[in-house]
Amino acid sequence: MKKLLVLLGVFVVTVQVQAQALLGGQVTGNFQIDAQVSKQDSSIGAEDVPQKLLSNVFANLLYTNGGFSAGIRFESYLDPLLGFNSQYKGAGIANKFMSYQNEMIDITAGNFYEQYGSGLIFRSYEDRNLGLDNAMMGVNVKVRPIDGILLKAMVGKQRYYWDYGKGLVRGIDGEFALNSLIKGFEESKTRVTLGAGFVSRYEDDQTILANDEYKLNLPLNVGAGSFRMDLAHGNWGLQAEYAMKSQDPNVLNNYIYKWGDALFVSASYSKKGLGINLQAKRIDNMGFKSERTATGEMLYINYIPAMSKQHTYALMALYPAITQVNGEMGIQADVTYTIKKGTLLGGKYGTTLKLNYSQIMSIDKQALNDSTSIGQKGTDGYTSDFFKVGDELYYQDFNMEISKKLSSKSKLNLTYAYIAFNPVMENEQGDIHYNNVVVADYTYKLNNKNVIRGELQWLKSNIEYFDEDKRSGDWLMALVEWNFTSAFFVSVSDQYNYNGSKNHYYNVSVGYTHNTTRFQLGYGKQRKGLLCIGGVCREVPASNGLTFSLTSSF
Amino acid sequence: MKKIFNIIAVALVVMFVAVSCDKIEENDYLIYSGSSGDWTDGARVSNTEQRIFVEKYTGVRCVNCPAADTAITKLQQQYGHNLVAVSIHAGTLAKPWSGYEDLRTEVGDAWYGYFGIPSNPSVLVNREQNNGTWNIITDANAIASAVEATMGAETQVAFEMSSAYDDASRSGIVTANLEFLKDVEGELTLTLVVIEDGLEGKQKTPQGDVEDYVFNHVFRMAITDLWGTDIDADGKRGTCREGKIKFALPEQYVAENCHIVGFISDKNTKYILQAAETSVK
Amino acid sequence: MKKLLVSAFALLLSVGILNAQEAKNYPTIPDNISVKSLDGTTVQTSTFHNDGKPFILSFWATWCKPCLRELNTIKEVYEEWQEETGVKIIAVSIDDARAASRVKPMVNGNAWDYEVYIDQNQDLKRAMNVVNVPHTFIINGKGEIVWQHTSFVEGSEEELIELVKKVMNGEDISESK
Repeated sequence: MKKLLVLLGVFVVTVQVQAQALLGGQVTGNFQIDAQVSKQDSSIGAEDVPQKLLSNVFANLLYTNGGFSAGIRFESYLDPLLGFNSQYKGAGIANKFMSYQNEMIDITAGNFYEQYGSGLIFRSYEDRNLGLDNAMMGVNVKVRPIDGILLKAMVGKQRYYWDYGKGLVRGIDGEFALNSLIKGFEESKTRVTLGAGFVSRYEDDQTILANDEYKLNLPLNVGAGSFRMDLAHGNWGLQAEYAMKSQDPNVLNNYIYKWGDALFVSASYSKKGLGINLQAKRIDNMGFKSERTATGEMLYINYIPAMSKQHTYALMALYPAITQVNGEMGIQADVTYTIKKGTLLGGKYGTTLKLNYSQIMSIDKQALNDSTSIGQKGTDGYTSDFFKVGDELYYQDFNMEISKKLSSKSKLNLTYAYIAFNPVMENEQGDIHYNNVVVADYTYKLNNKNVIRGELQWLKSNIEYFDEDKRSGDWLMALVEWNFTSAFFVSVSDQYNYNGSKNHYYNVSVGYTHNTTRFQLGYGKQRKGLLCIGGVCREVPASNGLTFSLTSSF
Repeated sequence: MKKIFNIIAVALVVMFVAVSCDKIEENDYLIYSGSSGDWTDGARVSNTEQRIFVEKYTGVRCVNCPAADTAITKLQQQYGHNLVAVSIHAGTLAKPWSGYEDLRTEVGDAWYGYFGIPSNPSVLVNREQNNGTWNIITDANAIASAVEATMGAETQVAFEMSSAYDDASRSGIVTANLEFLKDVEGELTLTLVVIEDGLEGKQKTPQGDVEDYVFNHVFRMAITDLWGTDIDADGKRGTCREGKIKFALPEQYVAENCHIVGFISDKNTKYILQAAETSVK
Repeated sequence: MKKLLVSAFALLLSVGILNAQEAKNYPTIPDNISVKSLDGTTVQTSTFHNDGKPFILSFWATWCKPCLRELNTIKEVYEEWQEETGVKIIAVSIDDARAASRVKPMVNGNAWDYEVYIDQNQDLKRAMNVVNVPHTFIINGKGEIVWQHTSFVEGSEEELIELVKKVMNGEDISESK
């Protein structure tokens, strides 16, 4: 690995010098190294790591010269960090692309990331922390024929670790800004953007048994289309998208032939000091992958985020919402309000209040007839009343946050959350967990260079601790962090499952940042659990040991 | 001119949308495909761990065998389900005298003979050969190093099994899924066997007879032929196959304590490329 | 571990060489990347400018606590900064569909007066080599990236405005912390 990296370093320098000397243009890039040493610890369920040292490395190089750009990404997983799929094992050039763009047109050949609307029918993206990369390999074209129209077309296959998925994915999309297109509407306070997209997947036929004697007659081409609009009028905003998917028997929906659909609506009102956002969504059978037999987080063509606030405090994120692509209905309300300076509640510096509520339920599912069970393989699965909410609660979260600057030196952030979590979201059986979580986050500026920050977190659960899970029961967490400017920090923390496994998960980390280079070293224990970003989750096994991370961009 | 361009663009879009999703009528969802037992295209296997198969030849009257049991139990704690262990009672020291259980099986005796097991305890890891002879470990202290040497090899075939079991008929069906992560040459077979945990009986030990010795992962029966059933696959990287194999559990075995162990081996060399274990229920 | 450190050093070294070479050859911000404004209009990055004066470009996300701290801290002094230097802040959110529709209410609710865009497909984030947020750039009057930094802690806003002032005076700050 060392040799590879040195070579890479030399390569970077050489390309830089050559490119700039011969062609002009500029080379930029970034890299990230994560390494881990973990030892066996049966108390938290950390398994032995025979390789001793695990590492993930990414390096991006980007060359741009006027409208032309090209890039490559080197990745190495030798061996992959705990929790990353072992199919990542290896090293090499993972992504490469060339593109040309001007005001009119944008063409990319090679790997690309793209999204139609909010992603209900198509989003190829990357999340390194999740070990997820849906990069397309193919061609993507964007055209702006006249001001106000943006047309997109693409074709390609999706990345699957070091390989590509079997399905061929094709799509078109158009977006129309009516203010630019309709005469006399240019200066209107009402801004209207309409859009529509269509994506289709082709995959060869294969044998999938419905029972002992029959196999499924599979559709080779599966299409999904959506309409969307974005309205803004002064302080008001309304966004909506509706998507449908044709017959797509796949492993996620247990090979049923029902059409899928999804609706997402968001309304907002905001003025200085006040922001209100209301959202609703309904998802029914919208798991859309580029291989009908693929499970796991890879090969998704579309993206359906969880409709709840993404918590960042550790104990609040202990029970995250996980998107149920086979069916869910959710609502969310979110309010941000800043109480003005100089008022009774606002104090000298003003106070910010945030309220958020979300609830996610199952959808209504009725059997097709007496002899067919709900979701039976090789049938239409079930019928569902669009407006009827299902009986099962998946997730509920009420949280409020008060941020207040107490003096020129200190700030206090108090957060409370009530979170109901149904383990069925993780495909586990069990009762719903009801948790109350309180977090106090206090920052104190000693002087211009030294800042101390502390967090206290408490989670009280209604579920008695049970073994295996290493999560149930009650928790306390404390964290102290010292920052010397933004260059250096040390933090010490402990998560204690005091009413439960009695395990302590202590962590010490130090970090150093110089411009865009960031170095971090940590030692401690990591709880086994789910790491979730945007409703997409990855299982992370327990570990006990050192972690090291270095990121830089240039 | 502009109008024509627009018409062409709209026509292209309509065509694309129209041809890009297939509609299948409700009466045509299913196609007759023949009976089960066949191999068909399967799903990708999400668990790609490389597991090793450790078979131990043991006997109830073998004084040194408990040492091998201890060594393997310890290794199982260390490697978890990456180590699949089967305990085969065979050979002279497995012959029961009064008071000892008879845990022998025909298949166990056949393997014992085929591999030329010299004495108990003997251990084979993945049925590896060393210059044409079976790599048989007879020293309990040497098991750990042999396992360590084999552990961590790159996965060639990802393999997962599940069992659906019907209590009423004491029968079930094993679904085996495999995905070739590498090109694999040679013919492969899948062998499925039943093992049982928690059997109690008399066992000789260096400290004398122990009356309630607990025997774990005891080999009970082979579901397939003792050399397995042929895997119908081309061995090309990326190929995913699913096989279904029926089984019936004899009355005397406790289904709750039984596991099904499957291993994929080379038909000619008998070398085991991958193994997996799943509980019967 | 040792191997890794050596490798890390090798990379750092090469980066160091790069930085040295770049002293007088700053990268510019990409021209034709599309982002969305808060009213849903598509905007090209070629429109990012501050009438020949420097501006600050900051990548953030609704779920990123240090980002919110950064933007909230600067809010307190932003008026002062603008009067004194004429600097402008462009805040680019990298939120995806989960929270993109909450960006506008959040910006207004927090009473931020910045120019805010949403980079939902993260095209700009990739083009500018942003790995983690917050990631803050200082762009000079010619559209060149003269300084960049990741992470934020209370107090760093003062370093930031000092650097902006130096840029206005035409000083080279590429080696500054």
